[in-house]
Amino acid sequence: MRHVPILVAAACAGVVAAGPWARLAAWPTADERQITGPRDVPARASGTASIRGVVVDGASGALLRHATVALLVEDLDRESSRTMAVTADANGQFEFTGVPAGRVQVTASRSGYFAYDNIWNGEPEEIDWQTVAEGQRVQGVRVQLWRGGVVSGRVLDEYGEPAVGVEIEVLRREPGDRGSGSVRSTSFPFTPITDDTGGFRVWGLPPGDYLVGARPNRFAAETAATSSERRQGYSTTYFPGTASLSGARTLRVLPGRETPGAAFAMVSVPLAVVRGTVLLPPDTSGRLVNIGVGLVAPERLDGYVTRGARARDDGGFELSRLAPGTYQLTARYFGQGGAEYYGATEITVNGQDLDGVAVPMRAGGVVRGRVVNDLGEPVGVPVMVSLAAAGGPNAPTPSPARTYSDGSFRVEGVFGLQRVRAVEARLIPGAEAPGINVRRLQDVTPATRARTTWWLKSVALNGRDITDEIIDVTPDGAMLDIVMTNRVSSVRGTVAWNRQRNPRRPVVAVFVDDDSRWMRASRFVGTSEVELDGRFDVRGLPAGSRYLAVAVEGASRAVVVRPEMLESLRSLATPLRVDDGGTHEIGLTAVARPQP
Amino acid sequence: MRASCASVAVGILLLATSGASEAWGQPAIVPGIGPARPPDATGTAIIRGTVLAADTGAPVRRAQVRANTSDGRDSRVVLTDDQGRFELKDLVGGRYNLSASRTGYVSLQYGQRRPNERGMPVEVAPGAVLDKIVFGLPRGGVIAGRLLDEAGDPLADAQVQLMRSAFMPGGRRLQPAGRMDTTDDQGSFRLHGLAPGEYVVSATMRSQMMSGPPGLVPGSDQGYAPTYYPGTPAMNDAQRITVGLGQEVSGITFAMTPTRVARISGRVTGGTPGTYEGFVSMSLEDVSAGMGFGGGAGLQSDGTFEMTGIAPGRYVLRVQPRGPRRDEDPVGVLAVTVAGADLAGLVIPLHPPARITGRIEFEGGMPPNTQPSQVRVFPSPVNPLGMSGMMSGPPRTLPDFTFAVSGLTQPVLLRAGGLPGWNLKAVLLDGEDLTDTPFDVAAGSTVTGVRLVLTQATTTLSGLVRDDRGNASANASIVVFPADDDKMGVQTRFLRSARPDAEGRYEIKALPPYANYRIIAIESLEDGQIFDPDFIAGLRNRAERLALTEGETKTHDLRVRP
Repeated sequence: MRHVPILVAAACAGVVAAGPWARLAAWPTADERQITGPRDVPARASGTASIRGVVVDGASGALLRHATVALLVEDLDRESSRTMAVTADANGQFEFTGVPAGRVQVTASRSGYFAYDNIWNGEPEEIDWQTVAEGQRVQGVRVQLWRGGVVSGRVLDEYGEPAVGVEIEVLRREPGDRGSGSVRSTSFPFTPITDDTGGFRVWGLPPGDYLVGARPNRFAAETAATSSERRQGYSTTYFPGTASLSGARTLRVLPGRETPGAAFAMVSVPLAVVRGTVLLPPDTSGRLVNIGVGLVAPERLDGYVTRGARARDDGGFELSRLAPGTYQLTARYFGQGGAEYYGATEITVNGQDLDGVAVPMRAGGVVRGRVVNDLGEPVGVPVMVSLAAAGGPNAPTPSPARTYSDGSFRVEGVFGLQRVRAVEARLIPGAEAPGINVRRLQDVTPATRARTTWWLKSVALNGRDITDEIIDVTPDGAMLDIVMTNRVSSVRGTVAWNRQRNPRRPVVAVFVDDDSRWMRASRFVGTSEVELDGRFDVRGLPAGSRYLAVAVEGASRAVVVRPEMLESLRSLATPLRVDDGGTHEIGLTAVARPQP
Repeated sequence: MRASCASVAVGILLLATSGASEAWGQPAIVPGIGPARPPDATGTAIIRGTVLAADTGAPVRRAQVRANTSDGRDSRVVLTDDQGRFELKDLVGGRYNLSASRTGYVSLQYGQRRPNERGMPVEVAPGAVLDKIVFGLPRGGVIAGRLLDEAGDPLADAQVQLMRSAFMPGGRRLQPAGRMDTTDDQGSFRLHGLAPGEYVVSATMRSQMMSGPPGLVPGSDQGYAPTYYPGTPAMNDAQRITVGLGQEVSGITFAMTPTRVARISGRVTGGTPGTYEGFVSMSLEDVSAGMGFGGGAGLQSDGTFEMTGIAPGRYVLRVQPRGPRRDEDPVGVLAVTVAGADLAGLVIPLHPPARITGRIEFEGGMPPNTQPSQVRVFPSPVNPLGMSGMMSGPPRTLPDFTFAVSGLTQPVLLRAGGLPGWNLKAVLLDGEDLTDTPFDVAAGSTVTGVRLVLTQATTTLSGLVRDDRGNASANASIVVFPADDDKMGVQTRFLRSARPDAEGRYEIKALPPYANYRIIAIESLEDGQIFDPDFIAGLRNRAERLALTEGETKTHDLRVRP
């Protein structure tokens, strides 16, 4: 397998973003942890803590040398964060020195390895946070990495000869909101490419169900077409030899194991041209230039554009060399004064050219409003208001907006179905760190819950409560009234668990009984870390519903909030009711993580 | 630790591609696919032929065939069909260089008889059909092996790269060659499509190309330095691997061993600390020395910088602005040699950039409809390693045909191009001809009033090459060189080579007028060999005299010298 190098200008943030980052798998328990750091360090000194630990192979327990270990420190005082990175030595040992007080995450990466808690999703999720004080010397941190799985095989052309230099695409089936039919590409720092025998080997894969495809490569021209005149060419072909994602066969990948035999031939298909026009609303000012037109497969969650083009001045566009299939044709236009236009239509290509495809576009709505507290006053802290597209796949998601000092906000470029969220902006983890995408963090994550003083209480549209509903934003926009509250409910108590058997502390989930509210970033699903003494605190749950509480061993908070996990936990959980602003004490005994 | 966070990648970067290469709104431009790129010009000439596998004679499907005129007026690419046939249509006509390539095979220029030789041009008149062009593509060789770490375990995710010795301006040096590969989880690599020859294999941890310390162990100073087969950090100790035609050389297994890596720190002086948002980049001085590990570090507000994990080697530290370079940005360059030990207290003096300004003149008057932006003025460094040292911002030609070249840090020649049919005649300053004399620009200096004269009166040298029996011969190369040593500088305009076409006719255009050329036809010439001064010296006594005056069209027949 060959990789084509990508031009990379990675700054620090690139290091954090790249590679499979492990969770802090095991913060030492009270017994293991030897806190030798004196607390007599002057209170003002900063950057005096240290953290030592080891990176181990989760399967064998063997020490892993030369893993890259990263430490993300959120400095509570300055509300900023920084990343430190070291490499574990030949014995798997690492040490961070000069660590400032704050909340920290330790993650590790190593070529060919993955972090287990990360396997549920294609992108990094929130990581366990721990608190470090100035002068503290933490020892015995264990970061576990597991050897990834391997998919290997061979790609041939239609004559049975090696297809050399085609790009290998690995798509992971997603269990997420849109059902198991959706896929997301697995990203590699370097695109895998077949060698001169057509062979490929994709390694370091987290366990899961995958589809493998081969894609014509612009840099190996012979894979790009058979003949320009016959308009026949290679489609992106998925194992076992189909041009359609729905016909692709799933390959199960297990940690540390090779799934061989993904041999298939590139499919040569008739290529069609699609011509059409994007239609801007009649009153649109400005010239029709640079409208991007793109095609995406509906199954794909990663927004991969199969074919893109720019519309001409008259709105006409042409997309060439399209393999048969059903696509979503989307168009976007950024007009004058930041106005944004979007349109989408579904097309089916069957080898014949398609003419006269119309893509009606509409202007994005502007969603305005005001954020106040329960008394109708400004909350006094910035609030990040975000709208998450809940319409079709790949619908544009507007950029989140921070409130002005009077509590007003303005979100532009909003199209169609949206879910509204608001979160205390100063508590968005990593939001000020370079390269961290605020959008990804716009939801209230379990990690932010514990630190949040202001919680979303309600969102109203024209006086109607839409807090947990999806709204349809028209070009006319919408006016929202958002109420935040600092009088939050708290479900707290103590967890008992077998500390001998499982040195890692369990996590607590408190979730609404009504499974229609188990959507991503639901306010009705809360989690908590468990302190060394067994205490936990789940805050901010909306009142008035029946909830279930459970403590789970061997799972991260990101994992327990998955709908399928909640379903498994339902029968093991303790029911309770949550009242507005009230405190509920409950004692829990941890259960083992249900196996899927 | 700290530096790793501030470090900035400045790797030597090759092909850029990604899964999202056909990104939103960008039309997919597939080389070789008809309408994706309109031909530069259309005519009526046709070139047809076949691409075959040299070993089996079987047709090679979907090989890429290119045709280019040497003046860049016409440039096409097509793919062969299922029978290996190709047709290049609507050609303007003239002298074309043809080449064929396909992954797994060695790319070949038409008429090329051995590796590293130039191809033979073909002549096709407007309206004519040139048929039966046959390429026999040699199958590529393979070098395969495994990369291990110091404990003998597979080392994944390392870049493995090939280099081979090639003639360059300035001498014979190792140059990156062929493909790169990334080792997989078994440490395996496979480099294919290789031309026969001798190769050096090197491995670089990828982190060295991106950012951050390469395998840096906390509290110590160990890291993986670029390593050459059979396992040495010194390029000179690398063992060459000979690959025969279509041969697979496997079992190239070697290990990377952590070596002492250095911490480098210092400060910049001369600027106003805190006002300059910059960083210090670090690149290998000699790019051929391997995957140019580039490191870098941000400039702190007090002007200090620090980098860790620097493997032994000779480097150039260069102060660069964050974001695009502006004319007024100061420049600072420092060469350092890292030999394991830390380097502290380095001082990089910042000074205002040097600048050359002047005016473009057209001999005999400006051609109609000429846009100033069509004329490209560029500095050409005279240091053979200097390309990595170029820092100038984009040279600009202004609407009144004045130009400015700024950000200079080293001696340069000025060159111009971009207008078809027009060539540089002279670079003049105060009546002095600086066409072939470098501008030695002192720090902060500005040279003004340079006149850059373009002319249409370019020379054409052509003739017939005969073998020792007096028959026209295509099996030759022609070398033209200056008799005077002072015209043999690195960027000399007086040194050229060419291959005759199938009828033995050669053609060389736009040599500068000069009374003391030497010309010779020899049987074979390796690409780049003319840059070897010893080789040219060896031709001197056997070569014929040749004089060219301005705009002269001259015929000079030659006999191939043994």
